[in-house]
Amino acid sequence: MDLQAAINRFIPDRRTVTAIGAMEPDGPRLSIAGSIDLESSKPIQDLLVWVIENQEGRSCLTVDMERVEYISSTGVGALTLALMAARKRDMRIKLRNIQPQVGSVFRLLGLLSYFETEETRG
Amino acid sequence: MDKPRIDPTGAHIESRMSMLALTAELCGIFARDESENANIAATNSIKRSFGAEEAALFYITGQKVFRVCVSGTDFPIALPEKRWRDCVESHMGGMSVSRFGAWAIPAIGKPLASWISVCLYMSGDEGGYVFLGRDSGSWSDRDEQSLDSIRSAIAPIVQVRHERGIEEHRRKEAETLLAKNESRLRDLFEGSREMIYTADDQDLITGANAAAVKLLGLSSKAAIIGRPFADFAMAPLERKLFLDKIAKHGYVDEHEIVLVRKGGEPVFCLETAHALKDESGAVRELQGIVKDISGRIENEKKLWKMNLELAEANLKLQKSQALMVQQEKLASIGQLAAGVAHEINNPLGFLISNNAMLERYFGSIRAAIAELAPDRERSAPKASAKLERTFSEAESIFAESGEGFGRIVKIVGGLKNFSRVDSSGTYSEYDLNAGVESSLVVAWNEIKFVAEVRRDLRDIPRIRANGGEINQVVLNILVNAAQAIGGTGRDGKGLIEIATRATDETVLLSIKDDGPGIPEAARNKIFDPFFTTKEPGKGTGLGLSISYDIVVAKHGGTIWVESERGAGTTFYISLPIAGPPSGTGA
Repeated sequence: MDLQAAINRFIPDRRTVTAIGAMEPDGPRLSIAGSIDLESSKPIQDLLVWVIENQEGRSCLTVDMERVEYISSTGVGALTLALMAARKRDMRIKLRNIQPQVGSVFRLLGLLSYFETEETRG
Repeated sequence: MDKPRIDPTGAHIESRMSMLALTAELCGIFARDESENANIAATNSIKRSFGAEEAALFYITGQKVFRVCVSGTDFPIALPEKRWRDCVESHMGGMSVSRFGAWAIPAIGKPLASWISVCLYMSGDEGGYVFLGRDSGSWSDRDEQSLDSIRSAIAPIVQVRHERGIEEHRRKEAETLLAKNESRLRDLFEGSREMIYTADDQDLITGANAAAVKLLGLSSKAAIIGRPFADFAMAPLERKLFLDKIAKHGYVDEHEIVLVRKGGEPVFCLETAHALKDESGAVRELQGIVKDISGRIENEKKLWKMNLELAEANLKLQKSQALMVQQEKLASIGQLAAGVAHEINNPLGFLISNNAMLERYFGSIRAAIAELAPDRERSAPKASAKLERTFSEAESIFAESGEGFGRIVKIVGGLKNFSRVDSSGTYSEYDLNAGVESSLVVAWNEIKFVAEVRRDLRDIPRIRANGGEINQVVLNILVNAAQAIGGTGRDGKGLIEIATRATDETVLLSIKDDGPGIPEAARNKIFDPFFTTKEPGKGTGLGLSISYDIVVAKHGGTIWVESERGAGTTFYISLPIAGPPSGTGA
């Protein structure tokens, strides 16, 4: 199963959240759009963990958050659990272009510092 | 209704007049007084008009109370239902007037000889009844007719009155219930431990309960009402998303929102809300319940952090364990090699001395033969030529052996020097140039077929270092260089250039190869543990990580790399001459 097939499998219902997969030099990238809320957290978590477990030898998973407008604590929890899965495999998770309101939920929970963050917007 | 009968006698007219007067009186009573007291007055009037000794009115009130009004009493009397029904049902024959003999209203009235009764009205299954009793003489047919005509005249009034009573009672009951419900709803709203609010179509708060005031850390509702809800949200932009969702679906379930208390403290909340819409579908009002879940979030946060730190610690442990194992392995290999070198050293000693001795003996034999048979070339030219050839070959053999022994000595010396068994684990005077040489000896087997080595080892001061460890680093880089060149599969040999320089406080070693170079993406990871570009089995990904640890952490030096794709790689190692600064390494 490739990245896109995995996305279709884990997020069949694209009402609240969607994702697009791509490969970067140091590993896969998932670009997420929409709301990571109570409902969509679980599918996102399952998708991330699947990607981490099926990218042997890659050192980094990039999650592009530019189009994520809302995240709940459950959403932050989903990313945290994915990070735990990644650390078990000595893989990093890089959060790219986090919107301020989303970043502040991570910060309030004191979990932002565990992730790598990156700004590619000008 | 009965037809009026023609009665020529005056008595009849008088009776009719009296009944008309009674009808008028009763209408007056009922018109004046809407309360039950009117029934007492009516009972007394009927008693008087009919010349009865006792009159009673049986009826059921709107509140379903079974009543009897007895003439001469001041209040209507409530009866148990069974007794009320016993009285009414045993003496009534449908709607018509009935007459019966001696009876008394149980426990209330006096016993009288003759009774007449009539059903005044029926409302549903229940009715109202008039009873008249007298002792002197029985009830006549005329009395019966009179009672019937009174019934006909006032039945509609009494019935309407009765039904209005019921209606009134129901209304009062409904009002009471409504008032009770309203108060219950108000209590529910006000007393709820969760914030409840209402907002208008512009999301301006129109109502909020006490829990809202508490949750937001405010002192009164006035600080909430009239303000946009977004004022209390940490991310006002998100509130717009929420409003869009509610406008679309009509409700939002368990939406997490971060509210900000007065003073700036954030509170994680779950909001469930719905919209009241008008006929056109536009939102008219929002009603929402907001639950404070910050306690739960706090616990989850702790759990997540703990797990993350655990995962991190676990990873570190795995890495350092592997590093330790590898380091231990390298150290034992070095010690083993040094042990073997030491073992070889003794036999090598007597082999060298024996070889030299043998060479000398051969020289002596040659000289002796020359002395014993000076004219052998003439007397035995063939044998003599053979002997000369043998001696000359033996000479080259001795020379070759000498060179071989010399190389063994160098290798053994290199091995001994490389692992420095005599000073393992300590910091002492160390000659980096000699270290490079001994590392070359050990690595030679890897290098000799793939690359030439060009040395530019300048005169540099000795440094304070753990020589065994630095040699390990040099060996590692040399082997990497050889493997990098060998991996290109080129024709002919590559080149490894080794140079040493000294500055005021440091010595610098550079090892340059002309291999394929390190890809840019990998360049900042080569010192990470387990990072390897080699095929499985060829590298653990620990060599450079250990080198980094030895140079930077243990010796306070620096190690860096310059590489260009296709043009080769240069590793630089800079080490302080004075040894590791205090606090670093050993």
